[in-house]
Amino acid sequence: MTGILASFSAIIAGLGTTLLLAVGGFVLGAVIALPLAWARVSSFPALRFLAGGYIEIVRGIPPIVWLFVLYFGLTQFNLQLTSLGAAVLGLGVISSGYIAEIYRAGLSSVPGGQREAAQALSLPLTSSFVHVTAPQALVAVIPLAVAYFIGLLKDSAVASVIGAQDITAMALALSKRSLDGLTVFAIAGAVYLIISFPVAMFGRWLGQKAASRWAVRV
Amino acid sequence: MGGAGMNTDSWSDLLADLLPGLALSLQLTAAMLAMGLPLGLLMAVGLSQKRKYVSVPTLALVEIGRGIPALVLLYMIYFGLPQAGMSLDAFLSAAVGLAISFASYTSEVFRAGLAAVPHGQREAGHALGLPRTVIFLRVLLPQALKIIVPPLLGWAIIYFQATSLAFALAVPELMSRAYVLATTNFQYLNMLALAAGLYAAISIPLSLLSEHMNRRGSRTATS
Repeated sequence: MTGILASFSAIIAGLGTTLLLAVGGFVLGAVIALPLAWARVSSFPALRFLAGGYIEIVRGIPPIVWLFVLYFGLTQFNLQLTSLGAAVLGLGVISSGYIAEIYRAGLSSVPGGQREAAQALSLPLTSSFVHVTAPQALVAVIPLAVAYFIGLLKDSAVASVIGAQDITAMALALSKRSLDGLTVFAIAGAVYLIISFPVAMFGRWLGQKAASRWAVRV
Repeated sequence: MGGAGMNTDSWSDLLADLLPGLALSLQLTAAMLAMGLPLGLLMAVGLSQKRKYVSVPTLALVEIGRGIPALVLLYMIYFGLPQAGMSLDAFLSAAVGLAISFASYTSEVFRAGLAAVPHGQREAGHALGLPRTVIFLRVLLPQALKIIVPPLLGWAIIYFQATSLAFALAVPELMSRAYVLATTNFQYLNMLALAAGLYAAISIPLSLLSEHMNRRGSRTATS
């Protein structure tokens, strides 16, 4: 029993890094995704094509390859990122592709009549977006974004392969010192399961709050 | 300058060096699907049982399979199972770990597909006195497959990419091969970019196909 507790506390030492990877990657991705989603629904075909191409390429290459390109590949240009920096940047690039599609789904969930009504009331374009379209889109975006973030928490485990000291890295190091790999990785798995719970609950609460405030009943 | 190209192999040579790795990635994908598809279907059947002592443990299994990172599952099988008196080689450990993860995610796809087949189909099978397994395999499953295939293809693409995690178990698949070759010729970016290109060359056309099938499917469903 003390063995399990000791293993648990050794593994939990990586929790901060895991959270940093997931939150950092998500925030970076959510920011890059803004112009991307805008380009994706733009009325210029060239912009739509470029954004669509970026999204396909980002999603067509495995996360671990992205991290290796950033961590080892850039050394060919004498550019050496830290493992944490390369991992956050890589997860950010990857999540930007997915989050842009989430934004797009949110935007397309808003009925066209809403924008037309705003136009008919001669609201300026920006306030039509900020006060009419965006809040309603958020109602659809939040649950999808939370689900994606929970996925990213788990995908961040690949950062351990380039040396980030996250939960998985701690478990791997511990499994090499102790004999009981099964217990060690079961604990690590449990930690990932446990941390997704409060995120899912918070997401549900946030989703309901947004829906009760902004959802338009037609 | 111009020296960059002097002692570097040509792109086609580098590509030829990577192809055995790609072949192994595809074999790993095939092994993963061979185990993961039946397991996902089995989980879906377990999930849709009315008997709680079947559906609840299945749900727990699915939640665990989805809640644990695939990489941790691979480590658990490769480094953990020997303690339980079982040991699989790196390739099989990766295939089994990815299959469990794949099945947990696709069980919901299978379940929704089966649930979408109209009830009357099953009843008609019963009325004709068909055995239950025949009803499932010859009546329900073929109709469900039409709904299931496009999203399943999407998951298969994601897990083809996830075979790159086998790098962590030193399986010499595409990703490992690119990295190992890069450590000898120091062309990290070129090797990794080539590997990335190979992954994308397979993933992107297939994902476009899956989206196309999805759109066509939803059109016929609404018409």
